Amino acid sequence: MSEIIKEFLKRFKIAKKSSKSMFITGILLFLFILFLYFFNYLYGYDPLEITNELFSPPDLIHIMGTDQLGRDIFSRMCYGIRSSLTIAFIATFISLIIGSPIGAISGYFSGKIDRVFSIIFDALCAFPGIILAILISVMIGPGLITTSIAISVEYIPQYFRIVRGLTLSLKERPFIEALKALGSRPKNIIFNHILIYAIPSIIALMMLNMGSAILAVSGLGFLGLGLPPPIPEWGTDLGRGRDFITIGVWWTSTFPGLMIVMSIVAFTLIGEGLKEILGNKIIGIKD
Amino acid sequence: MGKIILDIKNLKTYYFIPGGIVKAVDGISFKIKEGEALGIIGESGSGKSTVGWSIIGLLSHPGKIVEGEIFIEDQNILKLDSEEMREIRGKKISMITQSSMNSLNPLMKIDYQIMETILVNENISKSVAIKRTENILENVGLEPSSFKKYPHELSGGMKQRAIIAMALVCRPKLIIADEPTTALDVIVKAQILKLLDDLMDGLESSSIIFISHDLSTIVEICDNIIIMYGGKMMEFATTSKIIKNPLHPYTKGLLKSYPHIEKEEISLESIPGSPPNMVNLPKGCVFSPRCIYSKNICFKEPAKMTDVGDNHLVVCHLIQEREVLYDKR
Repeated sequence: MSEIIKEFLKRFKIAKKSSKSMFITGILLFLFILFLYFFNYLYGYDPLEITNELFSPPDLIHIMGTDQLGRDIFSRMCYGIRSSLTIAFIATFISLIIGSPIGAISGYFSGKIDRVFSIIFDALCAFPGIILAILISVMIGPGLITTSIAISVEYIPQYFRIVRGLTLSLKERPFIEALKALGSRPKNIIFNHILIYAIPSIIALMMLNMGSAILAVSGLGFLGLGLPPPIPEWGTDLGRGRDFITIGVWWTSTFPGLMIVMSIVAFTLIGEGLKEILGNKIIGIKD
Repeated sequence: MGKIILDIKNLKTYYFIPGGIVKAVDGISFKIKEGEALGIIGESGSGKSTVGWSIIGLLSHPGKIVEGEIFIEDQNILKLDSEEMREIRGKKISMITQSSMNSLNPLMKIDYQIMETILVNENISKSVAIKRTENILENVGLEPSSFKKYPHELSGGMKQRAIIAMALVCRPKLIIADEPTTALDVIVKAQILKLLDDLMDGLESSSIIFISHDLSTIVEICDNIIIMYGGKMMEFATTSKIIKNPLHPYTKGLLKSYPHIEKEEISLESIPGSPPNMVNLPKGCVFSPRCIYSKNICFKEPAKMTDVGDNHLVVCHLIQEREVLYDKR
């Protein structure tokens, strides 16, 4: 483990200046989001508490003002991090868990299995992701897990493709041939020897997908298909708050939008930076 | 010597490529007894590696065994399905592959990889497997400090030792060593060969097939030698007979192309011409276009196998008139 971290730091030092600064910016933004997550405990407003102070503009008491039900927006934003991050993480995790092994199996055995899976996932790719997510969440209803599943479907083909491509090149390598000659099972070769090669690429891809998954969560919430109210969720708040812009209440929709942008930027920058640092090569190998 | 471990009868392995059929192995038969070491010598593309891959059942895609039988301890392995074949690999037959420098997973420590090989093939506990791993790594001459290293931290010779350990750890009955010393320098090569020889002495009931293009590397280890050319067997004899009394013109040519440590040879002779086009083999004897002795019959009919006595097999038309012919030159 320590060797991997050492190698990572070495590569980080070599990485181009732009990607380094991008990576640091991403990390800082992410830390800020995490800070908000915990800051809520000090702040002390209940995100669900309905008060008489409707549409109070941002001031020192309510940093981001209150919404149409008199709830503190800042508190809702801080709690919203939980739903967005959780769903985005579960969604990318589900797609990773499904996509990568299928990609490895498909690449390793090739032939008919490969053909079938490739066609399925290519067809899935042709669908616009958000429409697919809407379709699935309408079918299985709102909720934490269901929303995650709806979003995850969009990302499965990406993991499938990356791992499959890697497997196709890996399986021609002499060490895989040697493993076969010594009686290894395909199961062992795929899960112990091929998939660990894919880890760096998967991590970089996961970070990138986290960003777009947050956008998808918010998108579903905006359309009223996300988490059921009154659970604080950025997209839902953005959608509700939008109605009041015309009467001069800008804070109900601006702050959720800002949070969404900030978190997407954070994850995208981290992902891009990781992609640059990890590169196509894998940590810890001089081949 | 003991019972027969491997018995190959008329093996024909062809590669079906768009340009035609490559007869990589065309009618090879041989037997290996318990504890025996057999060398297969041939030029690049003579089909010697294909013999190895055919035995272990891992021919790459266009290759196919079209005829023949391979018996391992009286079991025809060509009739087994892939799962039964996998059971045999590692336990009964194992292979030291050609590009052995890359035969270790660069992401894993070597002791883990060897332990995994044991666990895959045998039903024993992890602690026993770890002990055996340490044991075999010591036997192949690796320092305990390098057990927990990644392949890229080891030198070529050390990697080769680890690979040999991996191939031998399950005590297979038959080991196929496919050019195990390529890409090693001469000194390390000698060490590795010595190590293999010693280890084989330790595993008394195991046999080894040593595939190489270099006659000089295997003469010390092997009991018998097969000379292959163009997918066919040219000569089979004990090592001393091949060295002292080669009968096939090709074997003679091969031997002349090596420097001799005692004779003061001025120049080395090479065999004229180049290896045959495997899609379009010569009609008669495959070696006839390059053979300095070839006569009319050589170009017309494939040669038959002749036993000149004492299990010394030669495939040549001119075997009867050899004394007259060879003296002339």
